[in-house]
Amino acid sequence: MVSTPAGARVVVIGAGIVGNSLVHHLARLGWRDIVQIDKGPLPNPGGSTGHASNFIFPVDHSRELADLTLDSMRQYKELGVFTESGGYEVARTEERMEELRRRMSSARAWGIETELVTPDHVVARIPFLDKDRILGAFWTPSVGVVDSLRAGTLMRESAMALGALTVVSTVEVLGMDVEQGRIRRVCTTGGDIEAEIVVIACGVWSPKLAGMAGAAIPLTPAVHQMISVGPIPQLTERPGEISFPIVRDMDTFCYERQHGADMEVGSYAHRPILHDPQDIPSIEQARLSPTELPFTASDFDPQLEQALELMPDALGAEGAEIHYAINGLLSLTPDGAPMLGETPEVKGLWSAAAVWIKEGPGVGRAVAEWMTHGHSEIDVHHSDIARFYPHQRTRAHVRSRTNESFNKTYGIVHPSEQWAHERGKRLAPMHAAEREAGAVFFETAGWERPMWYASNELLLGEYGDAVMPREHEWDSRWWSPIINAEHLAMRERAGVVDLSAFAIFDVVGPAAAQAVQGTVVAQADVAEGRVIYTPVLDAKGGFRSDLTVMRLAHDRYRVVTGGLHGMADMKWFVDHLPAGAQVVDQTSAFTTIGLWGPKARDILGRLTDDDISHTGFPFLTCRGIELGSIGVLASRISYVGELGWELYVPMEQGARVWDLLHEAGRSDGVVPVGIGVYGTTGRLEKGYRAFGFELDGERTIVEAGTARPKVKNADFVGREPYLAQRAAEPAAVLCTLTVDDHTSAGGGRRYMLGGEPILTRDGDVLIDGHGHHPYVTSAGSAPSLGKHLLMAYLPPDQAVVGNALAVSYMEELYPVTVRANDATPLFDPANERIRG
Amino acid sequence: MTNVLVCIKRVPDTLGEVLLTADEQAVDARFVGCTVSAHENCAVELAVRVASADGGTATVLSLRSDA
Repeated sequence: MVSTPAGARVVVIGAGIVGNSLVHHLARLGWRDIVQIDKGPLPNPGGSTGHASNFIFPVDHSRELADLTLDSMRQYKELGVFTESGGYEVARTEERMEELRRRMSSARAWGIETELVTPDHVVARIPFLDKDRILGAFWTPSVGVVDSLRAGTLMRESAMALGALTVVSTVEVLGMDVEQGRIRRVCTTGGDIEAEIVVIACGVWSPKLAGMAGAAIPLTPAVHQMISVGPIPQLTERPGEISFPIVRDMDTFCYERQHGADMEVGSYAHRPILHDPQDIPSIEQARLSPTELPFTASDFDPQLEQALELMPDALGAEGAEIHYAINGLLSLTPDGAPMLGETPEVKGLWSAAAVWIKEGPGVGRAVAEWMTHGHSEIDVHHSDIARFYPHQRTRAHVRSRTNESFNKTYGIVHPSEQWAHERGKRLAPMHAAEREAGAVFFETAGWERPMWYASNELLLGEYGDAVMPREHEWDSRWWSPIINAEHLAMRERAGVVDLSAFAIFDVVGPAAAQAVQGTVVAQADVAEGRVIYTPVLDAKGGFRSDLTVMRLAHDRYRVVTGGLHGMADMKWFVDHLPAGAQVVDQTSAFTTIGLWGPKARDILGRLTDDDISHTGFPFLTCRGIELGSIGVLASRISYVGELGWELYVPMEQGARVWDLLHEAGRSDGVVPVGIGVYGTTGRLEKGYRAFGFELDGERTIVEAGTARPKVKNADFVGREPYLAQRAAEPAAVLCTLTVDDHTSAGGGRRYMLGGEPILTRDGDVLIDGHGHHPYVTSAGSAPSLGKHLLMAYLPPDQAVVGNALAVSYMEELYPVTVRANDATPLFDPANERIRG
Repeated sequence: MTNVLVCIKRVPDTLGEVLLTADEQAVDARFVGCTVSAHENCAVELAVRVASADGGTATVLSLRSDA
């Protein structure tokens, strides 16, 4: 037996698919002195990998997850452990058929070959399926199964062959030592290991391990029930592990997957059964393995009946019985995304957890690249463990959200669907006033943000058809024409917007200027009182963020960024601080209120004696002003393209300022305006890009069309690749398009919501210089233009103003036209309104 | 014709380590689940033999609480 080394550069805890993939890629990228430990025996130490059903359906509505899956499939194939079987997602209802049409959009957008097929197509390949039960199916020929344990062994062996890896099994972690905020040591039953970096890749055990170091990996072990039924005569007729396509019975949340003579039936339909990591049995205590808990048949009975309906002759075959049945544990997270990256609590302590078999090798590669270069080829920011706010790391939050999401695993989830549980956790100071105004709250990062206000319903009569009503239920779900009415009222008069969800942090200290200058693209060596809007790049020149920075003093900058990604942005700044600078989180100290519209100056002028004229308070400047006895920091910027300010107000005075603005604006008809305008309609009309939609680590400033004439001389992260990008032709160009005709084949008008593929007018596929297919990054109404706008990265030769293309929505083509191939706004292109 | 009723009790599976509940008054079957004991399997087999010898029936009965 291998003894535990006393030290290592990196310790990887866990020998499931993630840990094994990770050590392989670390070794491949040149890392040496890697120690991998697991408390179980190899090759199956008893975690979730060991009982996985091991099949892969590549299509997901999330680009990030789809790309990780495609990369994983490529790796499994290289290892020779992939068997292609094809797979059907079958629909029993018309509602599901519509969802399958939407899945076709995602498949086309991510470049995955799929087809909507008839029940006959299914029974031609699976004769024992009752075709009368289904209306149709989504056929993915590239679906297959993998041997994830064999893959893991091969990956460990490749790392060992490079002399990079020592593997020690049956060694359990007892504790972790952290010194001055850095991980120092892993204490195990085999002795202590000094380490520079520790990666927790322990799946369902990860929270327990992280807790030993004072960090949080907010996931929960949850039961996924699976049984194996056999022998089934129809399956024994053909050789090998799998020769029939896998079936996902989407409406019953079940799957049927051949495994030799047996059929595995798994379910996501049973009641959510959550466990605690510390209550998972030891290897000795478990009858099978720690993550294969006793099957609770009563939870599964309804699913078994439904499976029998679909495949009565096979599952009900004479002599077939249940060979194996488990309550298998897997990891669920509060937002469904994996937990990747360095923990914000402990330097050098990384997480690579909450990953499915289908993403394992892709995640292994991405995390290894991230550890090596500070970024990965596939953008994984949705999975960045730094994304969470404190309340999201609590056990109660994790359990509540996973409890709600478990049955949505195969569900039909609208892109704007809101959570029902764990609401009301972060309330803006003006929350009571917003409720009184009938705010319809959507959640971002725990904050309750008004999306629109029922009190503005009266505006619908005022603006008539200009609010662009939507007739189709799906298009108008989680939406209201009031958003567009608020938009028009803001453009005509003025609107007040609650922006409390912003993440705000200060960079302070004698080296503050150096810290900001070295982190952001824009010139940060500016006068006090200047506001800069700037991209933040990673070292390969991809977007890490885009945000605004105010210089408040010679030694103080205030960074304002989106709530959703704000904590990851803050960690990025912290990670790049020089000596003499610090980051101070101010998110909970200030609320932000936006006041915009042609009447904004009149309204604010009634509350302050300060000079807020255009010359006295120019665009892109900030300074403190007095609203009576309340001091606020006012910043003259706009994300909606109107004259106005963001007002940063101490939390406890936010409600008062909110009321003051409404009182002062009453005679001008000021209205509260929701995030529907701020985040979508106002922004799209102005061509403003949003991180997570248009901007991510795989996009460049040049492609996004936001390059400035000059690049500052000072060094900053990503400068060299950015200069190279500027010198080269872009591989894709971000464009704004209008939908020319919304009429569907059925006669109704349809409105795209985002994620749809852009094709030629004839429906032919387009490919950009990255080999990617164009898709809609953002979609929304432009009420001031009377158009529905789409943004998409197009191949450069297609990015021509006036070019006629098409968007595919629910398997129908709609004509679209390119209206801008750079950041030029379609509304007020000269930006005259911002100047007021 | 002999009809046989076999009364059996669900018992914790002892393939894993045997754990006691916190009050040490019962076996904790959370991690191993319950099964039919080997002795009671014998009883079922005997019942089947006896019943099938003269065309009777064997019925298995087990009681448990809802918890």
